[in-house]
Amino acid sequence: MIAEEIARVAAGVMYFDDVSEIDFKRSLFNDYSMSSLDFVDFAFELKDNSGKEFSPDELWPINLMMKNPDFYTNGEWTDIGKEALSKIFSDFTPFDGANLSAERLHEFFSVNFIQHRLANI
Amino acid sequence: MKALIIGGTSAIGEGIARCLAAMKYRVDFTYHSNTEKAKSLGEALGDDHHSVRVDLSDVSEVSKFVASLNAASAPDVLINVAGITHDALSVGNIGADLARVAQINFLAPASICARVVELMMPRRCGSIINVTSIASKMPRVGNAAYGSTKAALERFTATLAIEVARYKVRTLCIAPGFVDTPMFHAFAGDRRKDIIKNLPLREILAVDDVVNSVAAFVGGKIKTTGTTLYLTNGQSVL
Ligand SMILES: NC(=O)c1ccc[n+]([C@@H]2O[C@H](COP(=O)([O-])OP(=O)(O)OC[C@H]3O[C@@H](n4cnc5c(N)ncnc54)[C@H](OP(=O)(O)O)[C@@H]3O)[C@@H](O)[C@H]2O)c1
Repeated sequence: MIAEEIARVAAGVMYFDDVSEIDFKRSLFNDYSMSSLDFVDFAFELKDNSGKEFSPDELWPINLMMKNPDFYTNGEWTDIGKEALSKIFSDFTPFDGANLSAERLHEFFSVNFIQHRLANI
Repeated sequence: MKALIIGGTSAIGEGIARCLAAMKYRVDFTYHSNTEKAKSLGEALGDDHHSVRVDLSDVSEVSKFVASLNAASAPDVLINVAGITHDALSVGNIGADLARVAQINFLAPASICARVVELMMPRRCGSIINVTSIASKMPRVGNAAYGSTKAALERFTATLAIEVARYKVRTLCIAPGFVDTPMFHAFAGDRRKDIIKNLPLREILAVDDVVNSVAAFVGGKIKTTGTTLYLTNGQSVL
């Protein structure tokens, strides 16, 4: 899907009047306050629009990964977890690896990231 | 259109199953111990139905059942009817009894709801009905476990409703007063006449009274979500 289409879906879900309010590089979670309900709605709409089969957890697998002790334990990403993360973000953003908190990772949830993610699901 | 009834062998569940089948739903149901009833109801519903034995008191059976539900088998309507009463003072070591009532009346139906809504949400339609009881609002000596599990289910359903409303999945709790079923007969025993004498309406509900409310909600004649519909025998429920 092209970025403009993804942004249009996001704007529709979040009831924005104007799609141009969305900067493709900025986080939908942190900068546009996309809620968990908006996110699931967004994932369903993207699924319908892209014709691809995926669950909301596949679009943004971080929450599920953080529940898996192989990936995340005692508040830290394990080596396997870091490797899985870098696969998800490879060719999209280089990781400094320093701060990988959920809030920090939320910063990556932009229209550009979703375009990259959809191409790789 | 498909309906799934948890507790199809209950008197109320059977009434709902027959009504929804008449409304052209394909009705699947669960049962626990009443294989005879499950068989006769299955025959009445015809070939195009599926019934499965699930012991709701067993957490792993419930998990297995929940995991077996998928997009292809997902119902358009889910009705949680199965339930048990437990009439005892809340004094002393009540943990095991409380856990059992909570598992059957609250945790199992809540877990089933959670999975079914997940399957309904992408379709952007669906109806969930949880059968509770006016006991949720009416403390009576001996009904702490039963009443509090029904109250928990009502509270759960109300929150679930706002979480899934965006996806046009609607919920309703139907909370009857006494209904003329084996559950009421077991509870009332030889006090039936006395119990009815003390009810403001001096009558108890028939199974059809509950069934009609289900049909009205499922058929879109009652447009609401997240609420509890109290069907009383005249008691005021505030
Ligand atoms: N009758 C009333 O006066 C009244 C009033 C208010 C609310 N309600 C509520 O209405 C619902 C139906 O009541 P009813 O009078 O129709 O009940 P009922 O005829 O006594 O049937 C009880 C149902 O619960 C199922 N059940 C019991 N233990 C179970 C277990 N461990 N695992 C799975 N299923 C189990 C039974 O399955 P099997 O028969 O196959 O074992 C049966 O389907 C209940 O939730 C009840 O709390 C009833």
